[in-house]
Amino acid sequence: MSDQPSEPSPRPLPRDRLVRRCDLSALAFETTDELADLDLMVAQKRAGEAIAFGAEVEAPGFNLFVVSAAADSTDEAVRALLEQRAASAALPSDWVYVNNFAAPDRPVAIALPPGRGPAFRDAMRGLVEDLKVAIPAAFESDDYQARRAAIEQAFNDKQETAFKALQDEAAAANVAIIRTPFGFTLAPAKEGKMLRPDAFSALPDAERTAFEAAMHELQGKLEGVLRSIPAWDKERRTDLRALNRETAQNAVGHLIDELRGLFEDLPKILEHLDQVRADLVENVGLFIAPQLAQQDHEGEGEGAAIGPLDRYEVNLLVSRSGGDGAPVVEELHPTLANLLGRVEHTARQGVLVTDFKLIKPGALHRANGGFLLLDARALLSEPFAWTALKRALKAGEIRIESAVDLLSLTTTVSLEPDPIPLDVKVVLFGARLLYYLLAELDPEFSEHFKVLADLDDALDRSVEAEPTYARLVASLARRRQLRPLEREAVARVIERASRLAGDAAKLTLLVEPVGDLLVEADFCAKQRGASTIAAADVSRAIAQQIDRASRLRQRMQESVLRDIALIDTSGAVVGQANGLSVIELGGFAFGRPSRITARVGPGSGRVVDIEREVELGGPLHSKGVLILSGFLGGRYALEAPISLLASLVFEQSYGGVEGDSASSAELYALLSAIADLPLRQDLAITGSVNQHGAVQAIGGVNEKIEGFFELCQARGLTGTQGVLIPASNVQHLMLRDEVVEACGAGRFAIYPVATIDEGITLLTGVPAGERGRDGRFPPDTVNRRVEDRLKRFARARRPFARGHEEEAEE
Amino acid sequence: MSDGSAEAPVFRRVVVGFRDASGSAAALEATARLAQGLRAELLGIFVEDLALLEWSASPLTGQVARTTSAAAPFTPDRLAEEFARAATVSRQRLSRAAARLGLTVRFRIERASAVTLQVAAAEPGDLLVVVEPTDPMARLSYPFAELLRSIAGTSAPVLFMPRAVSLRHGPVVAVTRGSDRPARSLAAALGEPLVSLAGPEQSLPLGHEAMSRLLQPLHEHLLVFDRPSLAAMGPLLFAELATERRVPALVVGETAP
Repeated sequence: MSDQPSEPSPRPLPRDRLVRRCDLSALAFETTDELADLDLMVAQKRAGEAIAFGAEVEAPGFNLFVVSAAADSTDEAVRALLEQRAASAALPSDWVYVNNFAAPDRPVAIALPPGRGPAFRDAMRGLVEDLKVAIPAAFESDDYQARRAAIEQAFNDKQETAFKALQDEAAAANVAIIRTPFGFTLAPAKEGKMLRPDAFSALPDAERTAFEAAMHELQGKLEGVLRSIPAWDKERRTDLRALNRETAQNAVGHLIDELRGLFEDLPKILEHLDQVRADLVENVGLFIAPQLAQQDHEGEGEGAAIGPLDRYEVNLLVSRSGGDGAPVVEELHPTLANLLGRVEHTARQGVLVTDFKLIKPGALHRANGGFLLLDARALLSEPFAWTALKRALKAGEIRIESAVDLLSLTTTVSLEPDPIPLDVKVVLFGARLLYYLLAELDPEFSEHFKVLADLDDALDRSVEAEPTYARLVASLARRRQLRPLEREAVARVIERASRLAGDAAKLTLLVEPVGDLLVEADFCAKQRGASTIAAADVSRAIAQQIDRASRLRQRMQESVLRDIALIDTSGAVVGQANGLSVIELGGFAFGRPSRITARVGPGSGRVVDIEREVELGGPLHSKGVLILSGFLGGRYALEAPISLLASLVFEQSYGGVEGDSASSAELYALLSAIADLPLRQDLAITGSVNQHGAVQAIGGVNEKIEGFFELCQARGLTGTQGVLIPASNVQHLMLRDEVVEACGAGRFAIYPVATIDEGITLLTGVPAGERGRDGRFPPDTVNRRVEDRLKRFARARRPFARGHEEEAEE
Repeated sequence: MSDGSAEAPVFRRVVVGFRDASGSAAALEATARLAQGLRAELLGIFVEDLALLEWSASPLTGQVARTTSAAAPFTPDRLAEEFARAATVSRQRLSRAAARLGLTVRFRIERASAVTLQVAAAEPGDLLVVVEPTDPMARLSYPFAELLRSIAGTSAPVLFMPRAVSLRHGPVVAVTRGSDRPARSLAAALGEPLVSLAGPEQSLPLGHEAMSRLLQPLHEHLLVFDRPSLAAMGPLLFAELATERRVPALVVGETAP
């Protein structure tokens, strides 16, 4: 008995099976202006529910990964959904960074109720402005100046008194005290005038000796006076400091108290204001005019520098003023710095410096308390960003990290700002492959992204789907500010959507290419001065899109037409079949015929896949070829092993071959070679095959058919040409109009094939043949010829096999 | 009292004398501002005192350092080194003060007596500036004390710049018995009014306290004394009032016969 029943030769598909036209009766409108907008998530029930769940659930780690093949449009839809949810959520806190007076390299983060950050910032600015007036006024007051002068005078008086006493004593001993560049020296004098050395030498010895003794004694006393000065100076400075502190305290006290009143409900702010008050008192010199400040430092080189008053400023990191609900933030460039924030530097006198005001917020800061939308691929492409995001989610806080610091590239002074508590829902958008790779390779991924929202790429093309899809088309046109589409134009778009889905029973939800088509159709309508987009505009746009992308396709076809690439479209040849492959470049896919040949002879039962031998065949292709061996063995080698050596090759193929969609064509070529029966060259073949000879579905069926059609059309359609496709692929057919027309007119044909027997019958014109009760195939059938040939191979090989065995025994 | 009339300033150069490293930064700043106001060149001269150099060779002398209060060697080499260091410091401080105002400054080192105002580099049209030391002990000792006393006895225009000076807008106040022309020119150059407290026919109040009371409401920019008036009121009155009022004091005119 045969594995598969031998069936009659398949019939060409009727015209209505080659494309599924849109049902115009279901489109009850004139133009899309009459149609309401459609939420893009309407067809994504499962994913929509997942997003709703992920957005609501509070537990940690329940962040979302939205899997979608069409990033942009679904981003918009998901964002709209999240914004809807965020609108009803509570406004998150404002965050500010302020100076840490005790440790300026560790700025302090303070949370304020939403919207109060700017008020705090402005209040502190106002304080500084007020202090600029109030403090100098206090320090220029007569009272302060008088008290200060008294302190200075007391210090001077002490020095002068001590020095004058010494001078009097020196004068009495006829000694002058002389200022040297960095100290004092003593010299003998007479009548108040310094003696010259020669005059001194002329003095009697006794007088000189007396001078020496007096000078020695006075030098000791001078040292004593000078030693007292630092203590007096310290006393002076202490008194001045106390005076300054008291004056500053009086000047700033009421201003700080006013601020405390404004923020009395915020303990952290009150704590900061206390620190500001203490710092102001200690650093009041920052507000005093240079001359005044200099008085404390005379004789010590430069006067005290007026430092910046920025230390009392407030760095408003994020504020929620003017917003409604929780934030929904999308970061298109998720670098480490854009994500976590950064500490900027500024050059001062050739040195890079920074302070708390140069802390810039990242997307996490802006999205804190709401949703952060990120493109997974962009995130993974940025160094350190992915791990930093996971760290932030795990720690539940935003800690600013710098790539420069992580790599230890420089030793610039930087900051370690307080980390800010993180409460954000991260929504990653990415391709399905990326999701599965992350799930497989990153053990932390599932810990942080527990909710998968898997968006469908296509919508079932049910009776209700086409009117729904019409609304989607209307929405897309409106969003892009295009002309309205006429009903027939929408029908063309829907048919194109089906073709883009690669399935007559589906409509693509990858709205980006549909949107592009609408833009181009709108352009066509504009060119002809129309106010609406007609079906002809859509058809023209499709043709133009294809034409723009088809240079390579045309070059390939040209090489066939010029007999450079050898493809027959007529006649019959033994061991040779037309396979079909799909080439996809830059988003444009087209079918390309390929000659497949098979050679056979006696051998050890091996089918040699030449593509695999030279490492041009991918694993799926090799699998397909190995299945052929299984088919041959199962069908023809019921009692003895097959003594066959066969070789298969894609002729003139110089690139890789992958996929098993040509395995049926390879099997036809193989059977033809074994049976020595020619195969029709006016037919091309696509479809994979299993070990039982059943022809199975493949992808890109429309492109493959059209690829062979175009070649035949270029050479002239004969009426016998056509393509064998798997019967299970008929449901996917959405062929171009010209193919459909040719088939309808009998100039081309699409044959649905369910088994190898059906196919070989069609290709050879010889029945495949079923194994009879006697266990043999009927004479003059393909299978009989194959079996007989294999037996001959076995007989021919037997002497060689025996020789081998004897050699082995010896 | 009369307002000043516009007349070209008579000072071509402002010459600041240095004798040691002590000196008020505020005073230098004010000196630079004055030079700017007068559109005069700024010249610094560091005077290496000849008397001190002579004494440094004597084995008899020693030195007490101002900062450490400890005895230190005093030799010609050591003194030369200290003079050079002090000159460098002085030049830098004057240059910084000038640079802040966008002025350029020239600087010289001269070997002369530190108690004389006659320096070799002096030229007609110079205004000599004596900066008061911040160190009270330096103010009381040689050479500053003697230099201060010599101001009233010379004929060159000398500006006394107190250690704590505060340049402010206000009138130029002339305390003169002779012509107030120099004060008038100065006021015009500085764009300030002139207030003359005396004149050939007016008698001057005598003594520090009386002058202090008289000046109290004026908030003057600068004081101008002529030597005849100082001879009557006290040779150091200009310095006392300048220090008290925190304004520069210019001493002009010939000494009284």
